[in-house]
Amino acid sequence: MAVTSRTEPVRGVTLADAWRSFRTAIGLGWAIEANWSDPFLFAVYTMAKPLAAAGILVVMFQVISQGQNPEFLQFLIVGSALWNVVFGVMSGLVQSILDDRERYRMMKYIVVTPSSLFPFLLGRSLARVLLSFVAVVLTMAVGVLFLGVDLRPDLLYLLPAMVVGVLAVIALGVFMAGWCLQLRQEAGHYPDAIAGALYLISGAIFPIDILPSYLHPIAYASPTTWWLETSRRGLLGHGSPGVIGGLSDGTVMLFLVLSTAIAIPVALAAFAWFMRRARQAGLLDMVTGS
Amino acid sequence: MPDEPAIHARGVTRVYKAKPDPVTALGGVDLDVQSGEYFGLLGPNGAGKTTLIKILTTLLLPTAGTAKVAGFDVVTETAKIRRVINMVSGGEQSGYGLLTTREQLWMFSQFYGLANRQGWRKVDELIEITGLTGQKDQKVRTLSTGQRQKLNFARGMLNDPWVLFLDEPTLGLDVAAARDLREHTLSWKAAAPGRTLLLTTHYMVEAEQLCDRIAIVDRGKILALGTPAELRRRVQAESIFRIELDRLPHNGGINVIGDLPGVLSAVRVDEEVADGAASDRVALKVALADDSALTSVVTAVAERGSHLVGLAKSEPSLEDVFVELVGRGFGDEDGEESAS
Amino acid sequence: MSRYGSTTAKNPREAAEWSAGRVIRSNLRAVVGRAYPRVISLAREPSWLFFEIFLPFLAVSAFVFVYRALDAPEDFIGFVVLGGAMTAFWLNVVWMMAAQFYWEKDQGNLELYFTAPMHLMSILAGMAIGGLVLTSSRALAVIGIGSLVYGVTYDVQQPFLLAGVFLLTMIPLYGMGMLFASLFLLWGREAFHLAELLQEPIYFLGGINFPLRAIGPLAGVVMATLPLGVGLDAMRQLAFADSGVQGVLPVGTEVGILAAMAVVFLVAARMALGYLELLARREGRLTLRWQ
Repeated sequence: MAVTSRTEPVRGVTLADAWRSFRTAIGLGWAIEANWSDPFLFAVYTMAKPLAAAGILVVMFQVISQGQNPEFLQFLIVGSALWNVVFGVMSGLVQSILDDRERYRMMKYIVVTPSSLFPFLLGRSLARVLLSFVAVVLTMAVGVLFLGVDLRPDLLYLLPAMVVGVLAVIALGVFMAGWCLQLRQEAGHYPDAIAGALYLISGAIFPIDILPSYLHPIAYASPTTWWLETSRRGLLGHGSPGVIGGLSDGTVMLFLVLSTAIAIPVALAAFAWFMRRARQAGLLDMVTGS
Repeated sequence: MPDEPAIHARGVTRVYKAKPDPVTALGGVDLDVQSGEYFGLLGPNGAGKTTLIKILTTLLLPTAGTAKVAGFDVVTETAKIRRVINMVSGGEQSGYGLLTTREQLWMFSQFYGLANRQGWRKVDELIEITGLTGQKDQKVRTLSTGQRQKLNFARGMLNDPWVLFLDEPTLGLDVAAARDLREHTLSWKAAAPGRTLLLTTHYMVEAEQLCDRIAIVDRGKILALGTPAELRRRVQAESIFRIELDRLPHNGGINVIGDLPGVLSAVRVDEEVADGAASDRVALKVALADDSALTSVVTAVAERGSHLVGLAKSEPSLEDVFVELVGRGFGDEDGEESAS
Repeated sequence: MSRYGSTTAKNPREAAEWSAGRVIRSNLRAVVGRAYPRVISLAREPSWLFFEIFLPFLAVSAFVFVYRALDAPEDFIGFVVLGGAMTAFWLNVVWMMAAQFYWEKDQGNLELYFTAPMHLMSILAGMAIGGLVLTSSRALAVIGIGSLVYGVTYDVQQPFLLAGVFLLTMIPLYGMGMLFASLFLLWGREAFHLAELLQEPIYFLGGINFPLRAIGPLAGVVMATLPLGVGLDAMRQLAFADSGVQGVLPVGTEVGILAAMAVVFLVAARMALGYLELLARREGRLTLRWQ
């Protein structure tokens, strides 16, 4: 039958297609993550990076406080542990985009399929996201076992906080991925820079009150700030020092939900815009590198 | 060292460790390419052509055997070899996308040790020669495939190499671009004595057009080596012509031709005469011991009242040679070399 | 001369004989050639100004505020600023040198480098120098802006020694980068993760945000292996001479260690690159992508 004599309409893309693309991409992402080194080096990487990050803060604390003010140490460790998720999500999404465009040169082939790039991207980076949770657990375990972190989990509060918060972080990662699509290959380490900047305004490792007052609105607008606060309450049973710690659990959760509800559509719209711009400028199969 | 071959290989073997079994990409290759020669390695995908080029360009060590380029050993004298060779591969996407054509070439001129001004001058010359003047300030990532390959070829000429290796250089190019590139290689070779080219290709036309000698390679071994004419003669020693006459010769018809000295056979192949041609027209396939017998054939048919309407020489292709040697065509190969 | 040029040598043997001077000049030109795309790409894609200058300054600020939250002495703010500036060079070493051969292999440039006559160290040096524009900008931004915004005061009593220690630190640091360039290619299938692995652990061992003495016996290990840590410790002693915080070892000793490291790492780099090339040629890895 000739193409022109087709009688049935070409079917549109459905949720099932998106799910299939997502699921397939998960397998691909895991294959790539599992392939990069031998198991020993992989284990070292998984443990050394988050523990070193937390170690820096612990040493800074010990040098100054000499063991006084253990609540602040708990504050630091929880913030540092959870920050692995922020970094893992951002770098997972950005690296997927840049790898597929510049290294594997598969992005153009994925884009021309009926599946959207978006579920593919999410699936492709899921392995890194899950590995970042391993880092969270590891850091918390070291904190509890060796540094006196007093864990008092409230799962009813913690689990929804985690789910919503991770969605917010994924939204930030999606925004970054779209942005880095416009940039050159070296943008692969930009998530580090972004995570570092968010570190400053999210109350990750110091109370927001310490920031200059003109930065407070930015801090309070960031969903990561509320995610860290709700997670601290869900893990430690109490909030952070400062103004934010004085808010009720319900208020903090509400701010998390609201900020995430804004972040997600903004990120999706931005990603769509970045993709359109990439198509206009011919960036989808761009090969850069210097 | 007088009359040293530009490329010398003896027993060159390359085995890749692969799972489940090791892959023998080259199984004892012997080759001598003389200085000033345009030499072709012709074979299907997976034959070992690229592996051999990688060994000769010092990218790969042979597992066994010896190889020399410009008299220098590929294992122990790599630094000297790299000063006198260059390499152009087909389908190359290397380079820095953010640089312009001119900048990209200049950068490589510096890698080959050209002084700054000399480098820019050389780059501008090569840009003009390869027809990239319109693209000289265009970023590399915006070049078309053909332009990219011209850029690669220009890069290959930057250091005036004594031996230039071309690994499927026209891969993916359209007819005009491929023809341009081939002409450039011939012009480049002719510009100075002693320049040697080693070309790997699976395009038979390319090998026949360009190469002084060809080695037919398959599964890591050289099956045959010689000039294109010598290789064809392996399959078909005689010269075969298809002759169309307006009518059969008088007084003897086809036997007039068959009885001539130097004619091995003459057979009617009328079903090959074009539709709509005059009904008396005949087509003959005539096998001659050599081309010189053709003159007597043409004279004989003219003397007996026939006129020559069409004449074409039928020669075996290099694929025919390959089939003769291996028992299968180029399209029946197993695919890409998996370990290279 | 023909349009297609010609050498002055009569035969390839003559053409292949390069004097020592020519080899050196050729390698120096290769350094310049490889630095060029790095420098020019900064001009053609200015996103680095935001991502590599402004954002890192914010990241350093985060640690400044940790010390503020702990009511730390002001000297510690200076430690963080100086340490943050030095991370710029470390990141250049890790991302712009160590991981670079891996990416070059993926792009198909590595085999072109191997078939060219210059030494690979020239290519790496070119990458490092080309990256210095960005790196130095980042370091200066962190120091300049950080010192202004956070009111850091320095007490530099030996400015030339301080400058000398900084320059001396760069040599083994970049030698280490060259060494890693080979090791990345040999060990890993993906440079990105290895590069990441060399960030926080090195910041911890190098005392980027705290005096190196604070990690106790580990500091001794650092003194023996990590030029970043040794250099930073010496520079802090020189930049904050009146600080009450002591270095691990006297400055003079640390200068000696850096000089020894310079030799060790450069020699090790050259050996590793030679071994890498041999292994790559033997196993056919130069052109195997994603391996």
